[in-house]
Amino acid sequence: MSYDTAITVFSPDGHLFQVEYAQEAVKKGSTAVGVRGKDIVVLGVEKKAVAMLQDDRTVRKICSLDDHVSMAFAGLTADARVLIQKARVECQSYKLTVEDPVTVEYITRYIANLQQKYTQGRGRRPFGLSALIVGFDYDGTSHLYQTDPSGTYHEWKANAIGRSANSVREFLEKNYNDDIFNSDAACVKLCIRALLEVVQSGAKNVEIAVARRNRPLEMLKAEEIEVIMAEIEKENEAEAEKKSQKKI
Amino acid sequence: MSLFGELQFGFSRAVSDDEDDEYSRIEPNLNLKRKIYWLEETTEKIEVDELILADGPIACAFLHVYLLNHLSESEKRLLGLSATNSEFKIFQNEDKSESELNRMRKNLIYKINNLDAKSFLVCEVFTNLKSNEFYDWIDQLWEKVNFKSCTILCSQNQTSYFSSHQQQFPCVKFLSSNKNLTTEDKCQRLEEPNFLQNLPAAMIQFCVLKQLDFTAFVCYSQSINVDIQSVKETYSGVSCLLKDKSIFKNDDLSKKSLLSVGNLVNSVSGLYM
Repeated sequence: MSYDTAITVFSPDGHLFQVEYAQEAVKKGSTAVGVRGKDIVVLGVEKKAVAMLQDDRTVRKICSLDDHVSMAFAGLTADARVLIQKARVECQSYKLTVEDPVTVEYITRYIANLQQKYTQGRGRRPFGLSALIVGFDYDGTSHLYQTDPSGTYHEWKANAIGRSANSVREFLEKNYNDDIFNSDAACVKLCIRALLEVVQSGAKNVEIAVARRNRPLEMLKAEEIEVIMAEIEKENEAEAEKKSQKKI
Repeated sequence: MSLFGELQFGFSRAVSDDEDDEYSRIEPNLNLKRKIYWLEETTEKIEVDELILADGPIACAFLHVYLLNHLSESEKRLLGLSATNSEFKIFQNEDKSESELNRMRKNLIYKINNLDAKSFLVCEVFTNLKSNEFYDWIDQLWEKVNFKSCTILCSQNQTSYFSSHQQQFPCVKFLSSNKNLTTEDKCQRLEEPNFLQNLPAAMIQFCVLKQLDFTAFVCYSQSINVDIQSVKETYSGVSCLLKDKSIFKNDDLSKKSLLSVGNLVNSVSGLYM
């Protein structure tokens, strides 16, 4: 009996293969990185190559769910569109009912619950995407959450999803510390450095979004990204110079 | 019943008559079969010390990043390509100055002279050959080129790896005619019941028949497309096993090239983002 064609059937060793296959679909999407600081949360994504005649405004990996909550995803584009739409409606519905904006945890839980529902229903397949959800609550605390196709969600200080996420996560584990957490500029730099582990250098290959308390999501301009990349390049050269001198 | 009173049996074009199948033939479409097109005419067989065969996108990306990218045009000579008839015609007419990355997809065959005092024939097979093409392809190669040993690089999906132990992916395994090669942490011998398939298997069979030395590396990867981690892991495994004898280089140029190779997957398809 094949255990991988029906979503509602466990295999004898406890696998839900369709959910695991959905997690594989996430790895086909380009890399997205999130870094949380005290007063800032940064989202960085690998920019997708756009066809010559295509309008690149319709090709977006980072989007806002509400004024204070944003999201980046990796995986199936169409599934992301549907999930984002449902999340946006939920944000407004909550605000109308409760007269308060959603907390980041609430909307993450909503998205995760939706993803989980699609792992148990008959005739439906799981959403083939993972999401990084960032924002600030009304008490001013910053948050970064990650969801996956199984419907689990966790809070992170820094994380990556999509292609080569493991390499990027290793880099973040080695380089994230309290100094990064306390500095806005250091958070942005770490995010770009993490992306440069798996993306070619150049502002045209990445998109960086910065969320700050009581401010709308801000997309960094290409010139600003180029300046930071040039700094990183210099630091890397200086480090390489040090290493070669040590060898001598 | 027909107009003339004869009894006529019903028939359907959807169901073919068994008798007809015996005589019906499907003409093989020779234009779709891949073969080697040699760009140089030589009367004598070309002699090289080693054949390096890269089967599949990950193996081709590995060769591009850690070997071919480090060689100038004069150090590597383009000998031929594996292509269908139409692909070869397109290749003949197109601009040859395109990027190295696009050239990787063209299943090119290079000769490298004097690398670490040896000569090599490098065959990139980016687009997998069909099962009816393996042996013809190898025969065409052997007709033109004499080689003393063979290094085969290939990849398979992690789902085709069977083991009672837990395994982290990507990982690299090897098979070798050299019984003295010992297993290393980064590269272990391929154990039963796992096996190689397709062109790598056909090449190994050929080497055994001709009593040639061979070493095959297979990277079990999470992705069938080019994946930076799998390419890096292939390098770790190969350089670990071959140690000082490895001709593959890992330097700044390789790191830059690795990132550009990752773009191969980042196609314009809208399905994934």
